[in-house]
Amino acid sequence: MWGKKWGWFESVAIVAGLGMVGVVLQLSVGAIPHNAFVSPVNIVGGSVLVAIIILCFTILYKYNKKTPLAFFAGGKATLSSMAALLLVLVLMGFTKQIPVSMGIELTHPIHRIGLSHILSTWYFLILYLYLLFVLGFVIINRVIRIKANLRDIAFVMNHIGLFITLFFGMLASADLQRYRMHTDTESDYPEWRGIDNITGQVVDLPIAIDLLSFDIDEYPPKLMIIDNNSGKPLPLQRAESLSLEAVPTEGMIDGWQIKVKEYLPYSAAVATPDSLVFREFRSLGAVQSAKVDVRLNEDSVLSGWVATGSHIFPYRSLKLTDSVSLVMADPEPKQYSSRVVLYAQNGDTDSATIKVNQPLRYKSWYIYQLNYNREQGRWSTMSEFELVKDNWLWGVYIGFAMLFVGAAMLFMSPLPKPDNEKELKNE
Amino acid sequence: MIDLLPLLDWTDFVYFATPTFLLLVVSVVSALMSKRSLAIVAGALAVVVFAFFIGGMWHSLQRPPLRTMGETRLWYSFFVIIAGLIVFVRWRYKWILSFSGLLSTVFMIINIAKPEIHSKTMMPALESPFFVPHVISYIFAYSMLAAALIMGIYIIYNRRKNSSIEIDKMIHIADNLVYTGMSFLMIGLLLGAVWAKIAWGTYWGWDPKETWAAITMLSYLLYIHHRVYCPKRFEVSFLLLIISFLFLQICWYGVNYLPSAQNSSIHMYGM
Ligand code: HEM
Repeated sequence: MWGKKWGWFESVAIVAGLGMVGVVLQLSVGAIPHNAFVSPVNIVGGSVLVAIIILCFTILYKYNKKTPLAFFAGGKATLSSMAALLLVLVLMGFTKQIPVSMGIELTHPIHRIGLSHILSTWYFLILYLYLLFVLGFVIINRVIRIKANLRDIAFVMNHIGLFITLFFGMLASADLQRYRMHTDTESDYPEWRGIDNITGQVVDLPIAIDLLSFDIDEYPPKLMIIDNNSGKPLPLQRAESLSLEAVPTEGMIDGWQIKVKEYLPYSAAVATPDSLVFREFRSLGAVQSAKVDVRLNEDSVLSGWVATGSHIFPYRSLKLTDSVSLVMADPEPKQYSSRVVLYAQNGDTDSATIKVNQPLRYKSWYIYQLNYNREQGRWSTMSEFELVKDNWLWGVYIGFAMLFVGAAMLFMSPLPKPDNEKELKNE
Repeated sequence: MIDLLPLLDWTDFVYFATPTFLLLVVSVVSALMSKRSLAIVAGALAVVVFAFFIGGMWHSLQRPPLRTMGETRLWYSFFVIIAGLIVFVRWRYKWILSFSGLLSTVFMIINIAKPEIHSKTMMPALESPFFVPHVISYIFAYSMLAAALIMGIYIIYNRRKNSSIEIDKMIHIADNLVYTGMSFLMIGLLLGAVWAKIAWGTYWGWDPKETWAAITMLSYLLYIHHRVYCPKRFEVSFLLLIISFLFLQICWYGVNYLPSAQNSSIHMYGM
């Protein structure tokens, strides 16, 4: 067998065999726990993989392609390793994925074999490592006779870029730390406790956050007509609405002619002898309200107030008929922002405004705006952050940068004409 | 600032889709009659008319029209025309305009029949400089890969009739389209990954849409490498091209209907 060139049969046999080993391990040992490969296990494992690739390649080089090891730098290994991983990913795409911690406890065969949490299965890990192994081989095999032309540089960027990305991505997935932290403007001291996203445990973090203020920037609210029974906006197929961007304004919703005469972004209800009206009110719990005229028929107009609710005041709708009402929908948020001061264990401090899409960075920590007290809405004094620490981000980003250049070159570099492509194949 | 762009919305689409369609017909007919420059000019005008509508939508929505399926279909129609023109200009392949024109028209008709009206609001996570280039890269890649599939079908269909040199030339075009498509898939993916890191902390979360994006990429990589290693077996490559394209459809909108992805994807298009 040694010395003979391996072909399609062997390439399929290898991935099938590796897959089987993975399945057997899965059934006997069970899923890989999320923290099985935290450093230094992942670092050791990663270095061993790179060492194996280099060692195997050296052997191959010494025996001058006579050994079947040459196979791993070839097309059949490439195609089969990609196809095997693709197959596993397609399975994953078609099955609902749940967290491992949940899947481990379930006994249905789907869970036992890991289909519901494929990323934590042995066969996924093994086939991923095999792809990396082949890719590493392919890279060395080509790099040792590299030429400084566009095509070879594109090859290096795409293949080494992918190797680096997949390699550091693997290290990172074991080491990534994510915590949630609740802060409150009313609190007298900074918060340093975080809830681990995976274990749910409360831990002391090396950084603390003091929330100075929390704000929501909202879109102008909208008026809608809803069905009184179902509460659904009308018309059912495509709900219509009237935005209060510029007041006074008027428009049609589901055939009703509506005139908005007054709009108060901060207001509260005040009872007068014969009705309820809204007046400007600028403190906790204030709601948005609008005074409207709705034409009921040829000669009658209904006048009244509609308002959003808050955690203190109920919302107010205007009943047009027994079956429909005019309401003011809760305004949609445009941006959330928290003004914070950050304190690090070593004495560093920093202050910033954290927004969605604008995290605060401190060393390898990123702090994200996550949530707030939904019930209190814009009056929320609570702001929830997510703190993420990824020690391997730099590695993944190097890979990304190379892949980016590679992609640009893939687009720009001319492919060989069909004629000279043939000679490329015949080595 | 002078406002060059009018405020347009979906009801105006017909008035732009119709001239675009007519220009496409002129372009296709001229190409088939070997009137090359007329074909290019008419095609380019179609692009301009269409771009004008997209610009007007953008202007009136006060956000890029990239949020609903209908809005992304708009860009798809637009880029398919461009993809066809690029192939036509670069490789002088006159049939491509008929296919790209047809595909673009189908998507325009869907958008006239089923416009997806949407309010101006945009959730905070989308307020990012990465949003527009990310989605546009993807949609551009989708149209390139659609053009590649059309090429592939044409090749398989005409295998016997044409000389092998001509077939080789067409396969070469298909390969180029896949390379271009793949390159934009990769750019779109990387932009999306960096954006995700900035918006919510992980560049890759194996959300269903992301899983299908990985599947699509891997599948097109199989095509590319199969072409490199087995250049004589185009039928097999063609099969990979079809499968990859199906995966791409799942990735684009199929995940919205996939039972395994219900309630779990953060990338759902607003409906
Ligand atoms: C980002 C991902 C990838 C891209 C864009 C890519 C692209 C390409 C392209 C365009 C070629 C042919 C052109 C050339 O020879 O320069 C090629 C060749 C090759 N690729 Fe990839 N590839 C990728 C990933 C992979 C992976 C994961 C493997 C292996 C598991 C692999 C194995 C190979 C091999 C063996 C060759 C032939 C090399 C040679 O002729 O020396 N590639 N790749």
